Amino acid sequence: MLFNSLAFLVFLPIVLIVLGVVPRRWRNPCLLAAGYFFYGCWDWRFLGLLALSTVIDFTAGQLMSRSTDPQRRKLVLVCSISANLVILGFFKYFNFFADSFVGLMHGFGLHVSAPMLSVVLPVGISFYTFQSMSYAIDVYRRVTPPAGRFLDYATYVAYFPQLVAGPIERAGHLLPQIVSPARVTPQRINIGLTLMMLGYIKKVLIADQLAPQVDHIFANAAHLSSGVLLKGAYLFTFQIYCDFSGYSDIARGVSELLGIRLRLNFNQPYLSQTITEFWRRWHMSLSAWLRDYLYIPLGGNRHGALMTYRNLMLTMLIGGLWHGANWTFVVWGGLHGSYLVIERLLGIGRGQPQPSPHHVSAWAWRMVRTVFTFHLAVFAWIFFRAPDFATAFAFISGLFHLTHLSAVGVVPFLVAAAVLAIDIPQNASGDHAVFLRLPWWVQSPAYATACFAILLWGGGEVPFIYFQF
Amino acid sequence: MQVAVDEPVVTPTPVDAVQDEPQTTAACATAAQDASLLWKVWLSIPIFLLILELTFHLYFWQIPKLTGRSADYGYQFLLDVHRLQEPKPPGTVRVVAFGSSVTGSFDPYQVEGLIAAHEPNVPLEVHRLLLPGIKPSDSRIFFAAQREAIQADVVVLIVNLVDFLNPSFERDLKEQIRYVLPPWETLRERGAYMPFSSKLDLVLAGSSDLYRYRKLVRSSLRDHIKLLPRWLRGRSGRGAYGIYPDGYAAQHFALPIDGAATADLEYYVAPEWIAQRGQVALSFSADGRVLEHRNEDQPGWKTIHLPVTPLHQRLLEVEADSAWVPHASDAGDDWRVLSVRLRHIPPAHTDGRARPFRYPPVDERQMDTFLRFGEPSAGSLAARWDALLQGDSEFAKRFRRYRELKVAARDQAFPSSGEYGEFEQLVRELSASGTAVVIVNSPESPWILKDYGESPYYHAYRAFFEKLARYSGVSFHDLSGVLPAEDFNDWHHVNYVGAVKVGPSYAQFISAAVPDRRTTH
Repeated sequence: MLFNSLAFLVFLPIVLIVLGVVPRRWRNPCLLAAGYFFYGCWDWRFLGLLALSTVIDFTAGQLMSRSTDPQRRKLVLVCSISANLVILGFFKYFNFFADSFVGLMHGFGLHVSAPMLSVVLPVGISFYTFQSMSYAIDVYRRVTPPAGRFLDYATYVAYFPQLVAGPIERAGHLLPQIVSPARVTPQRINIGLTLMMLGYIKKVLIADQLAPQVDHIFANAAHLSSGVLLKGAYLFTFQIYCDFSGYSDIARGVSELLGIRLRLNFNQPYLSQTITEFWRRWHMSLSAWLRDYLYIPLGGNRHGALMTYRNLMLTMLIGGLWHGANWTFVVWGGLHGSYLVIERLLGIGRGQPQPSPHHVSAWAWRMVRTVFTFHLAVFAWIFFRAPDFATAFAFISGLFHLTHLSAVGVVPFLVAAAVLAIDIPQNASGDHAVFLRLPWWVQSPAYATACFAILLWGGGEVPFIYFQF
Repeated sequence: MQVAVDEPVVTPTPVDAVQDEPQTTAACATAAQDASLLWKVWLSIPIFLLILELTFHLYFWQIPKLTGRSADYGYQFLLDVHRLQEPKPPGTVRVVAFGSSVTGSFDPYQVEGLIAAHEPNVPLEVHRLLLPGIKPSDSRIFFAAQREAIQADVVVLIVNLVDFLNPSFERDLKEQIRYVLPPWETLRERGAYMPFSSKLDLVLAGSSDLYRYRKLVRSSLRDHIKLLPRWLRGRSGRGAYGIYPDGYAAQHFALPIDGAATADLEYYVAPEWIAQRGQVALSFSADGRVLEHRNEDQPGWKTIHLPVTPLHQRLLEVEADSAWVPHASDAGDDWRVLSVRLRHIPPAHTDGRARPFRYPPVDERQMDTFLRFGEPSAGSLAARWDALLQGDSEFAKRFRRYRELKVAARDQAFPSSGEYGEFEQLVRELSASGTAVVIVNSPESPWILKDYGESPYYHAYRAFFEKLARYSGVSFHDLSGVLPAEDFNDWHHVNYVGAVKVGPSYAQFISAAVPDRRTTH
């Protein structure tokens, strides 16, 4: 079920009403049923996979909590992580690795064949697997207590607002709220509806409208002028941001209506002045996951500069692969890893360098840094969006021919203006529901018009890009 | 990813809800203010939408459709249906030609003119309801709901083999059909074959006109927004500016030159095209002889003087070496976005050197006349189609499936149920309501007929209509073999020249049906 589907517009009020009227002890069973129904609407056959992942990590949590033997606890954790990775690897990466192996052997002149599986990638498997794994690891580290009841844990894993595309929640944050949700106050409803409105605006009115142009430009990359390609790169940059952050906003808004606060997932990433800062603002729940469960265990920055660079690159390469079973994602991750390494080498991002008052103003210096960082991200997105390397290289090659640059047109700038109109007030105030501060007679017609536009331009039920991950 | 953060300790700290989410707090002072805001802000949305819903029919149909009849077919179809619901003048005979894209062979203005010239004393109006992809079962749903409202005295059902080869009841209707058909009837007839989301869509469409016609509203809004800059520049936007070649972003198109000895022409090279491809090579030819080559690397209007003898065919052909991608310029995917536009040099008082108007509100009759210019050489058309269909484009893949479907019909047993049963029922229902029915098998190109025209299936197909006509008291006419290949736009659809040729036949069929109806009543 998609947030931008009619079915969801029926599903959500039913869930809210049911949760509002049932006794408290029935709340989590209902929420769990809603989560499984939500997921099953996509393909009920994969509900078993969701349940399996839940059972594995809940059992691991219980076993680890009951044991004081470090070896036994570690063994349970290894088993739990292995089981999760086997599931993820089988459904998401089997064909990728098999295909890559065959390609490698061909490179050595050996003609081998590998079995290819014809399996559907379960939607959101990367998200809920990571979430479930983080619980087992946190219990192992004694960072979080084990869930008391299987029902609560199952509800935590299958919590529908963030089940298929995050934010990837930690048990320490979400589980207590599942067990004891806050009262749904008018303030929460206002915040929730505002976030949902912003999310739908980003998704339906921006991202979905850009999709056809982006698709056509990437499909014809080899034949288009630099200006059009640049336009395509800009538009995809905004499309993926509005698509994914729009989803996160809707998820957070829906969750507010349920009395549960989800963590922030996007914090105006394109206003970042460095790539380091970009990754503190983009897909924050995944960034934090990789930091806590990959980068730091690898050694982080504790073993010298070279090891830090290695760890950064490894983390980003694996982060890239997490997005999809394609080498283009790995290159995308590698590019960002390189950016981070270079920033570290140059000492950028660790402390904010002061602008020289003799050359440019502080504001202009921030602008330059922001625009430069934005373009680094734009360049990397080409690999993320291109279906293969041939397309990516054709795109980049065409881009640097520097022909007909005026063909970039005004559309990217209009889109940028629309995005900034949302992001700048949020960034300046530090409040994602800042628009609630506007007078009601401003909010009211603005939201009504937005709602009308969503009614007109919505309905295509264009899937969210991150569902495929 | 926050990987560049220097972590102070090895063991990560617990994720703290407050740390993670410091920013989502609205500045609402009191619970009372929050509650007040809740009502004031969010209640206005349903009220606003309700007002738009209740007044929908008061404002929407007054808004002109800025695009031509051959653009945005669903919008045009629903607009035509709405106009047909206006009371017709007393004593007027209303003829409605109905069908899928092959109904493009029926030019209502020409047919009306021909009948009026032949029978000037019969007050008659001729309309066409064309919806690409509509099947007999869809048509039956449409007429079940709208038959009385559109007040047709004669219905011309234009059929083609492909219309019958689709499954009768698909799991879901094509989107371009679903939103056009009457929602409640569609739900009643097809609900059992649809997924939940489609049923929900129909329920909403049946309950709300604003929802049902949202694609039309969107289309209209978009076109008017694009028109706005022109109005702001003080241009009326009225008046024809040229000739529209056939197909969007076409590489090969033509202009009638009326047998003149020379042709002073202008052509417009779209800036998007130059922006995307860098330059365009154009070849102007007539009667198979190349008259001039041009290479353009700058957009805008260009003039050209071509020596054309009267012996030449009446079409001047222009071939470009490529086309541009409309979507890459946010130009949609309809015919309005052509690579190169060609026109006779306009008088000074018209558009002059301005960029061609994208949404020409050309008179509807002109639009039909101008839109379908085909290619003069059947051989070149066939060769081009073959080349196109062997390609790897989405278009080629789609058309290969389409062609294979048709050709595969040769080997199938003829089913009298399914879409044929639906069609039979449609004819019976129309006849029972007193509507005269004329069934016409649409013109088919010779190379298609060569593939399956003599197959047992096609014989049975024709025999089905002949029998149906006999038993139902309606008329059936077969135009499948009357046009040569050069009168087709593609391997299947008739061009305007072809439509002009078969116009008299249509007029004759209708004239024959009108007295029948008079005697019936």
